Amino acid sequence: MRWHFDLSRNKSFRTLETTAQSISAAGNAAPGFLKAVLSTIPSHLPLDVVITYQDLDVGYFVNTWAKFVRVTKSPEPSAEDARCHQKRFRVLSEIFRVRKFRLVLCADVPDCIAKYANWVLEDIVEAERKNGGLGYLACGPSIVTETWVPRVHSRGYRVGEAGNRAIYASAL
Amino acid sequence: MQNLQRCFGHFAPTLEFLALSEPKGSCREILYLIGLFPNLQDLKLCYPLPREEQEVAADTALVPLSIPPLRGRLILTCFTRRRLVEDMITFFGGLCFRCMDLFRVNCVQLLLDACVETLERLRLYPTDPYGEDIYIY
Repeated sequence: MRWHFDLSRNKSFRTLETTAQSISAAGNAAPGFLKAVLSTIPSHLPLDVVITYQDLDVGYFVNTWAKFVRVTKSPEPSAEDARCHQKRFRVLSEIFRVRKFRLVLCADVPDCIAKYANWVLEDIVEAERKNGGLGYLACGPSIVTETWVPRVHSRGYRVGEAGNRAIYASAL
Repeated sequence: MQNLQRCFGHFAPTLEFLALSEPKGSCREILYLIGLFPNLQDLKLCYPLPREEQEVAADTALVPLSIPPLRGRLILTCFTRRRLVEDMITFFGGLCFRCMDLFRVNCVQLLLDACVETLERLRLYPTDPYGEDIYIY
Protein backbone atom coordinates (compact mmCIF):
# COMPACT_ATOMS: atom_id res chain seq x y z
CA MET A 1 0.00 0.00 0.00
CA ARG A 2 1.34 3.44 -0.87
CA TRP A 3 0.62 6.70 0.89
CA HIS A 4 0.76 10.08 -0.75
CA PHE A 5 0.78 13.18 1.36
CA ASP A 6 3.74 15.09 0.03
CA LEU A 7 5.19 17.87 2.20
CA SER A 8 8.44 18.28 0.30
CA ARG A 9 7.53 21.78 -0.97
CA ASN A 10 6.22 23.17 2.32
CA LYS A 11 9.07 25.43 3.37
CA SER A 12 7.80 26.50 6.78
CA PHE A 13 6.74 23.08 7.97
CA ARG A 14 7.77 22.35 11.58
CA THR A 15 5.25 20.08 13.25
CA LEU A 16 3.53 16.85 12.30
CA GLU A 17 0.75 15.94 14.63
CA THR A 18 -1.36 12.84 15.05
CA THR A 19 -3.42 11.23 17.76
CA ALA A 20 -2.64 8.33 20.05
CA GLN A 21 -6.02 6.83 19.21
CA SER A 22 -5.44 6.86 15.46
CA ILE A 23 -2.03 5.21 15.81
CA SER A 24 -3.64 2.40 17.78
CA ALA A 25 -6.67 2.15 15.51
CA ALA A 26 -4.56 1.97 12.34
CA GLY A 27 -2.66 -1.00 13.74
CA ASN A 28 -0.03 -2.30 11.33
CA ALA A 29 -0.79 0.45 8.81
CA ALA A 30 0.32 3.24 11.16
CA PRO A 31 4.11 2.96 10.67
CA GLY A 32 3.75 2.84 6.88
CA PHE A 33 1.52 5.88 6.81
CA LEU A 34 3.71 7.96 9.11
CA LYS A 35 6.94 6.87 7.44
CA ALA A 36 5.59 7.88 4.05
CA VAL A 37 4.61 11.33 5.29
CA LEU A 38 7.85 11.86 7.22
CA SER A 39 9.98 10.81 4.28
CA THR A 40 8.63 13.74 2.26
CA ILE A 41 9.66 16.39 4.82
CA PRO A 42 13.03 17.92 3.93
CA SER A 43 15.64 16.57 6.32
CA HIS A 44 17.37 19.90 7.02
CA LEU A 45 14.29 21.28 8.79
CA PRO A 46 13.86 20.74 12.53
CA LEU A 47 10.74 18.73 13.15
CA ASP A 48 8.46 18.07 16.09
CA VAL A 49 6.20 15.04 16.05
CA VAL A 50 3.30 15.64 18.40
CA ILE A 51 1.19 12.75 19.66
CA THR A 52 -2.08 13.99 21.09
CA TYR A 53 -3.72 12.16 23.96
CA GLN A 54 -7.36 12.77 24.76
CA ASP A 55 -9.22 12.09 27.98
CA LEU A 56 -9.86 8.40 27.28
CA ASP A 57 -6.19 7.85 26.42
CA VAL A 58 -5.18 8.97 29.89
CA GLY A 59 -7.84 7.04 31.79
CA TYR A 60 -10.57 9.64 32.11
CA PHE A 61 -13.92 10.17 30.45
CA VAL A 62 -15.31 13.67 30.28
CA ASN A 63 -18.97 13.52 29.28
CA THR A 64 -20.22 16.77 27.76
CA TRP A 65 -23.42 15.29 26.34
CA ALA A 66 -25.13 15.17 29.70
CA LYS A 67 -26.79 18.20 31.22
CA PHE A 68 -23.65 18.82 33.26
CA VAL A 69 -20.02 18.03 32.54
CA ARG A 70 -19.24 14.71 34.20
CA VAL A 71 -15.79 13.33 34.77
CA THR A 72 -15.29 9.61 35.26
CA LYS A 73 -11.93 8.11 36.13
CA SER A 74 -11.17 4.62 34.99
CA PRO A 75 -9.66 2.15 37.47
CA GLU A 76 -5.91 1.78 37.68
CA PRO A 77 -4.17 1.38 34.27
CA SER A 78 -4.51 -2.19 33.04
CA ALA A 79 -1.89 -4.40 31.44
CA GLU A 80 -3.73 -3.84 28.18
CA ASP A 81 -3.27 -0.04 28.53
CA ALA A 82 0.44 -0.55 29.13
CA ARG A 83 0.72 -2.77 26.03
CA CYS A 84 -1.10 -0.15 24.00
CA HIS A 85 1.35 2.57 25.08
CA GLN A 86 4.30 0.28 24.34
CA LYS A 87 2.98 -0.46 20.85
CA ARG A 88 2.72 3.27 20.11
CA PHE A 89 6.28 3.84 21.28
CA ARG A 90 7.40 0.99 19.02
CA VAL A 91 5.74 2.75 16.07
CA LEU A 92 7.55 5.96 17.00
CA SER A 93 10.94 4.25 17.21
CA GLU A 94 10.29 2.66 13.83
CA ILE A 95 9.42 5.93 12.09
CA PHE A 96 12.38 7.68 13.74
CA ARG A 97 14.64 5.62 11.47
CA VAL A 98 13.15 7.38 8.46
CA ARG A 99 13.32 10.94 9.79
CA LYS A 100 14.75 12.32 13.03
CA PHE A 101 12.41 14.41 15.11
CA ARG A 102 11.75 15.75 18.57
CA LEU A 103 8.95 13.88 20.28
CA VAL A 104 6.20 15.82 22.03
CA LEU A 105 3.37 14.17 23.94
CA CYS A 106 0.40 16.50 24.22
CA ALA A 107 -2.55 16.07 26.56
CA ASP A 108 -5.46 17.69 24.74
CA VAL A 109 -7.99 17.54 27.53
CA PRO A 110 -10.56 19.60 29.41
CA ASP A 111 -8.96 21.92 31.93
CA CYS A 112 -10.53 20.03 34.85
CA ILE A 113 -8.29 16.98 34.27
CA ALA A 114 -5.21 18.73 32.84
CA LYS A 115 -3.05 18.16 35.90
CA TYR A 116 -3.92 14.46 36.07
CA ALA A 117 -3.40 13.96 32.35
CA ASN A 118 0.05 15.48 32.68
CA TRP A 119 0.91 13.03 35.48
CA VAL A 120 -0.33 10.09 33.42
CA LEU A 121 1.84 11.11 30.47
CA GLU A 122 4.85 11.46 32.78
CA ASP A 123 4.17 7.93 34.06
CA ILE A 124 3.86 6.59 30.51
CA VAL A 125 7.20 8.13 29.54
CA GLU A 126 8.87 6.89 32.72
CA ALA A 127 7.59 3.34 32.12
CA GLU A 128 8.89 3.39 28.57
CA ARG A 129 12.23 4.77 29.72
CA LYS A 130 12.55 1.92 32.23
CA ASN A 131 11.91 -0.50 29.38
CA GLY A 132 14.80 1.12 27.53
CA GLY A 133 12.53 2.23 24.73
CA LEU A 134 13.47 5.89 24.34
CA GLY A 135 17.20 5.56 23.79
CA TYR A 136 16.97 6.60 20.15
CA LEU A 137 15.82 10.13 20.98
CA ALA A 138 18.48 12.83 21.29
CA CYS A 139 16.51 14.34 24.15
CA GLY A 140 13.57 13.00 26.14
CA PRO A 141 10.02 13.61 25.01
CA SER A 142 8.45 16.91 25.96
CA ILE A 143 5.10 16.80 27.67
CA VAL A 144 2.71 19.65 27.02
CA THR A 145 -0.92 20.25 27.82
CA GLU A 146 -3.51 21.99 25.69
CA THR A 147 -6.65 22.55 27.65
CA TRP A 148 -10.14 23.61 26.77
CA VAL A 149 -13.20 24.45 28.76
CA PRO A 150 -15.86 21.76 28.32
CA ARG A 151 -19.26 23.08 27.39
CA VAL A 152 -22.40 21.03 27.52
CA HIS A 153 -23.95 20.68 24.07
CA SER A 154 -26.96 22.82 23.42
CA ARG A 155 -29.36 22.49 20.55
CA GLY A 156 -28.20 23.75 17.19
CA TYR A 157 -24.79 24.03 15.59
CA ARG A 158 -21.99 25.98 17.10
CA VAL A 159 -20.90 28.17 14.20
CA GLY A 160 -18.20 30.26 15.75
CA GLU A 161 -16.84 32.46 18.46
CA ALA A 162 -16.66 36.18 18.96
CA GLY A 163 -14.74 37.23 22.01
CA ASN A 164 -15.81 34.79 24.68
CA ARG A 165 -19.22 34.12 23.16
CA ALA A 166 -20.09 31.00 21.24
CA ILE A 167 -22.54 31.46 18.41
CA TYR A 168 -25.12 28.81 17.65
CA ALA A 169 -27.36 28.45 14.62
CA SER A 170 -29.95 25.75 14.23
CA ALA A 171 -30.65 26.25 10.52
CA LEU A 172 -27.77 27.09 8.28
CA MET B 1 -28.23 35.33 1.34
CA GLN B 2 -29.86 38.44 2.73
CA ASN B 3 -30.89 36.30 5.70
CA LEU B 4 -27.31 35.27 6.38
CA GLN B 5 -26.23 38.89 6.36
CA ARG B 6 -29.08 39.89 8.65
CA CYS B 7 -28.45 37.01 11.08
CA PHE B 8 -24.68 37.09 11.26
CA GLY B 9 -23.62 40.43 9.79
CA HIS B 10 -23.24 42.03 13.21
CA PHE B 11 -20.47 39.54 14.04
CA ALA B 12 -18.47 40.68 11.03
CA PRO B 13 -16.11 43.04 12.89
CA THR B 14 -15.09 40.50 15.55
CA LEU B 15 -15.58 36.92 14.37
CA GLU B 16 -12.29 35.07 13.99
CA PHE B 17 -13.36 31.42 14.11
CA LEU B 18 -16.16 29.94 12.04
CA ALA B 19 -17.20 26.30 12.48
CA LEU B 20 -19.85 24.83 10.21
CA SER B 21 -21.31 21.42 10.85
CA GLU B 22 -22.52 19.71 7.67
CA PRO B 23 -23.07 22.96 5.76
CA LYS B 24 -25.49 22.64 2.87
CA GLY B 25 -25.80 24.86 -0.16
CA SER B 26 -23.53 25.53 -3.08
CA CYS B 27 -19.84 26.27 -2.81
CA ARG B 28 -20.56 29.88 -3.69
CA GLU B 29 -23.09 30.16 -0.88
CA ILE B 30 -20.63 28.78 1.67
CA LEU B 31 -17.94 31.03 0.27
CA TYR B 32 -20.30 33.97 0.61
CA LEU B 33 -20.88 33.10 4.27
CA ILE B 34 -17.13 32.88 4.91
CA GLY B 35 -16.66 36.22 3.16
CA LEU B 36 -19.14 37.86 5.54
CA PHE B 37 -16.41 37.90 8.18
CA PRO B 38 -13.43 40.02 7.10
CA ASN B 39 -11.37 39.13 10.20
CA LEU B 40 -11.80 35.38 10.00
CA GLN B 41 -8.62 33.44 10.88
CA ASP B 42 -9.78 29.88 11.63
CA LEU B 43 -12.22 27.74 9.71
CA LYS B 44 -13.77 24.37 10.52
CA LEU B 45 -16.01 22.40 8.14
CA CYS B 46 -17.23 19.02 9.32
CA TYR B 47 -19.39 16.39 7.71
CA PRO B 48 -20.43 13.19 9.49
CA LEU B 49 -19.58 10.95 6.52
CA PRO B 50 -17.64 11.45 3.30
CA ARG B 51 -19.90 11.54 0.27
CA GLU B 52 -19.72 12.85 -3.22
CA GLU B 53 -21.56 16.14 -3.28
CA GLN B 54 -23.99 16.86 -6.06
CA GLU B 55 -22.97 20.45 -6.64
CA VAL B 56 -25.95 22.66 -7.26
CA ALA B 57 -25.66 25.11 -10.13
CA ALA B 58 -23.28 27.86 -9.14
CA ASP B 59 -24.76 31.30 -8.71
CA THR B 60 -22.08 33.19 -10.57
CA ALA B 61 -23.40 36.51 -9.33
CA LEU B 62 -22.65 35.48 -5.75
CA VAL B 63 -19.19 36.68 -4.77
CA PRO B 64 -17.77 36.97 -1.24
CA LEU B 65 -18.09 40.43 0.29
CA SER B 66 -14.56 40.38 1.72
CA ILE B 67 -11.32 38.44 1.61
CA PRO B 68 -10.74 37.16 5.15
CA PRO B 69 -7.10 36.63 6.18
CA LEU B 70 -7.55 32.92 7.11
CA ARG B 71 -4.03 32.64 8.52
CA GLY B 72 -4.89 30.38 11.43
CA ARG B 73 -6.18 26.83 11.58
CA LEU B 74 -8.18 24.88 9.02
CA ILE B 75 -10.06 21.83 10.28
CA LEU B 76 -11.78 19.59 7.73
CA THR B 77 -13.51 16.31 8.52
CA CYS B 78 -15.05 13.95 5.94
CA PHE B 79 -14.72 16.77 3.44
CA THR B 80 -15.17 15.95 -0.24
CA ARG B 81 -15.97 19.40 -1.64
CA ARG B 82 -12.83 20.00 -3.62
CA ARG B 83 -14.65 22.64 -5.64
CA LEU B 84 -15.06 24.79 -2.53
CA VAL B 85 -11.32 24.72 -1.88
CA GLU B 86 -10.65 25.62 -5.51
CA ASP B 87 -13.10 28.53 -5.25
CA MET B 88 -11.47 29.73 -2.03
CA ILE B 89 -8.09 29.72 -3.74
CA THR B 90 -9.54 31.64 -6.68
CA PHE B 91 -11.58 34.23 -4.80
CA PHE B 92 -9.24 34.74 -1.84
CA GLY B 93 -6.12 34.83 -4.00
CA GLY B 94 -4.67 31.66 -2.49
CA LEU B 95 -4.67 30.20 1.00
CA CYS B 96 -2.26 30.86 3.84
CA PHE B 97 -3.30 28.67 6.76
CA ARG B 98 -0.55 27.95 9.28
CA CYS B 99 -2.18 24.88 10.83
CA MET B 100 -4.33 22.18 9.32
CA ASP B 101 -6.22 19.25 10.80
CA LEU B 102 -7.42 16.97 8.02
CA PHE B 103 -9.32 13.72 8.19
CA ARG B 104 -10.97 12.01 5.23
CA VAL B 105 -10.33 14.97 2.95
CA ASN B 106 -10.15 14.22 -0.76
CA CYS B 107 -8.06 17.27 -1.66
CA VAL B 108 -5.22 17.10 0.87
CA GLN B 109 -2.48 17.65 -1.67
CA LEU B 110 -4.29 20.65 -3.15
CA LEU B 111 -4.39 22.20 0.34
CA LEU B 112 -0.75 21.37 1.08
CA ASP B 113 0.31 22.95 -2.19
CA ALA B 114 -1.91 26.01 -1.68
CA CYS B 115 -0.28 26.67 1.71
CA VAL B 116 3.24 25.84 0.59
CA GLU B 117 4.71 29.06 2.03
CA THR B 118 2.80 29.19 5.30
CA LEU B 119 1.96 25.73 6.61
CA GLU B 120 3.79 25.06 9.87
CA ARG B 121 1.71 22.41 11.57
CA LEU B 122 -0.33 19.54 10.19
CA ARG B 123 -2.45 16.96 11.91
CA LEU B 124 -3.02 13.75 9.97
CA TYR B 125 -4.48 10.44 11.01
CA PRO B 126 -3.00 7.04 10.08
CA THR B 127 -6.59 5.77 9.85
CA ASP B 128 -7.32 8.21 7.03
CA PRO B 129 -8.28 6.20 3.93
CA TYR B 130 -7.50 9.18 1.70
CA GLY B 131 -3.85 8.62 2.47
CA GLU B 132 -3.88 5.89 -0.13
CA ASP B 133 -2.80 7.15 -3.50
CA ILE B 134 -5.82 5.78 -5.31
CA TYR B 135 -8.00 8.42 -3.65
CA ILE B 136 -5.82 11.43 -4.42
CA TYR B 137 -6.80 13.22 -7.58
